[in-house]
Amino acid sequence: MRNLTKTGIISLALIFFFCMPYVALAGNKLVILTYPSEVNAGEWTTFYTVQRQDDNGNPVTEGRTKVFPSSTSYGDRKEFSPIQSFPPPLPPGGGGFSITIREGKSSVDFYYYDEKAGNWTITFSADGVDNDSKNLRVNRAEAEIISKLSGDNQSSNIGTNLPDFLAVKVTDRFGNGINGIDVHWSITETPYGAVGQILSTQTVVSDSEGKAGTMLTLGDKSGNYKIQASSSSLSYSPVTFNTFANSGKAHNISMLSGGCQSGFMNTVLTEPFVVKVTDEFGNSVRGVTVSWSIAESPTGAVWQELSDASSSTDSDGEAYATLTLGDKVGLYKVEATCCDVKGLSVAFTVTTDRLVSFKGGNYNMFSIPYLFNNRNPEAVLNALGPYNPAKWRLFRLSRSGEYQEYPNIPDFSPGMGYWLISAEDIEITLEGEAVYSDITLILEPGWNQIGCPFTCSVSWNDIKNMNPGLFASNAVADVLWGYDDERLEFAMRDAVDPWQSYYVYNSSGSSINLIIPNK
Amino acid sequence: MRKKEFFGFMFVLIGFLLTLALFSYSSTGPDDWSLRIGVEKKDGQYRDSYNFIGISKNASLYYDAKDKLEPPTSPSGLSLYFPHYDWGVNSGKYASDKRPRFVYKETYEFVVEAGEYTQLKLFWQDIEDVPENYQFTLVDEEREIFIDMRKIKDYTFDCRPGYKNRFRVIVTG
Repeated sequence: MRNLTKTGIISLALIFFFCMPYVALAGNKLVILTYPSEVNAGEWTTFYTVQRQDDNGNPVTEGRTKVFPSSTSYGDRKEFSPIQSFPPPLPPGGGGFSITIREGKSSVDFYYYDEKAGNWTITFSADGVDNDSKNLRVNRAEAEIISKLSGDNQSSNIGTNLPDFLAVKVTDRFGNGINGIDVHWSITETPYGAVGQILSTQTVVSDSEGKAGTMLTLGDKSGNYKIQASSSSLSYSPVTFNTFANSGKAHNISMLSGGCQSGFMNTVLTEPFVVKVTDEFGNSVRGVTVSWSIAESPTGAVWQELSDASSSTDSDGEAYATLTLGDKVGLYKVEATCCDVKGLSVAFTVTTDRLVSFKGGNYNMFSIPYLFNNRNPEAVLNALGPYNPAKWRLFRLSRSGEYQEYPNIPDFSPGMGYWLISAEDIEITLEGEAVYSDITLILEPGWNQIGCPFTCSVSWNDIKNMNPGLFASNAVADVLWGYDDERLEFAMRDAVDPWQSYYVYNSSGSSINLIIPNK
Repeated sequence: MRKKEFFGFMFVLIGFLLTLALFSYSSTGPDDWSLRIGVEKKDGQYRDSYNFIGISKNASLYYDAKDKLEPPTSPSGLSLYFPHYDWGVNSGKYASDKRPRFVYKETYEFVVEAGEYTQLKLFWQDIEDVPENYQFTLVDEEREIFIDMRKIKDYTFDCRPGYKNRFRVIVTG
């Protein structure tokens, strides 16, 4: 027991001996005697001198005082040090550093390093004594770097603004924003043919945080738009932003291919129907559902069937379907519609008519959309038998406006029209080659008997659009007379249909060329 | 005395204006109407029914865009058309003959080519749609026959093959 008491007393004495210099002899306050008011970012300050003093302001030299410096700077790269070392021992920097004012000394010197520009407060503190603080301004270095801040990889619909600004930041080498620097914005890449793309501002002065931004309005074509921000003499200039314009809403559907075909009954057509869906600027629209339907088929025909009731447009805006023909010859019309917008549809015309029929006793106005090796009417219409006016007669309107009769008429050719009357009903199977290119017809002054040169229909408007000068000058009268096989009389038409013949009027007084486009 | 003269003058003036308004209404009617006239072989086979007479506020007495050329006669030869050989470069046969508003009477002449047929029927459609103040008289010039077209809706006549039969429609309003 006695030994234990003795040991305790000795321990207390040792604690008193070692701790007293820090507590009882450290003075009552710390005072910053020397200090800098500013420093450039990335440089060491001149020294701070911190002195321990008693209540009367006298220096205290007894004992030891552990001084803790601190800064309000939130930069990652800051440091206190008793010497101006370079590079400073970073990171972590700034945290937990202390230095002791030793026995016999009243003060100590510190240096401070910071890369974060701003106005900061430097405080020196110690346990049990009053602290002291001073303000320090850390200045920005020179502008050196331009970097991407925000807005990259945005997308929006064509013709609209991107949702966010495109922004860069101008900084010194430590990342401090630098104001007053001109940043030049430009559009460096657009989809082919795009127009309407524009930047809200092309030269922007960086703000107090070094930020400089602009807003992009996308052009009328879908695809990539690249924007650059540049500023001379800055590292990493120019900075490139990638943006993307999405196509707009489906606005139009058009026939790409498959519209002018013929085939045999109960077979699948060799070519699919292809439509393209575009927005109001002609950009392909993907992911649109196109509905397919058979709008017209020969009376009594069955088994005709489409491969798809609906299909979705691909990345090129295209949708496809194929048709199996029915068991009757004649015209099959397939309609493609989309987008629940009235009028957004396109019709394909298909014919199984390699077989042409004539009603006995009637004048039939017709044409044949095929090329033949032997174009002689008697050879082509061989099923009628040798020419015999008592059994069949063939006419064509001549240049004089009178009808000429076989054999004094030209051979068959796509685009030419004829009249035929036969004593009996006739069906003729034809083997020829269809025409797929535009056809130019020579129109003589006055009335001309033409035929549809293709196995698909061509609208009168398409013909007018193909020959704008002829119609603008009234060289060709804006009237298309066809023949109604049921009522046996002429009727005005708005399209030339396969196997049919028509009258058009050339009022120019001289021969002119009329182009029939193959749509 | 002056008062009596004034009221007398006003009475005559109002009466004149009312008469003018009534006359104007009854003589001109609406700005646009048309009447379809056709011809067909008596059995109904072969016809030419796309032919119109009428008035239109934008029409002229001469050629205009509303006057449509008659197509060439089919090989059957049957055709009805309005001949206008006095229209200069636009002279020819027409399937429609639209004219501007008239005050009292207008005469439309047309020709029926018989082609290979010997008996034909003229017919006209939807005459009920034409304002009632207009009266229509079909005149067969060769046979000197007059027909009230509001009461009788067709007219059949015999003809020689290939013959051109001339008719007039006299419209009064």
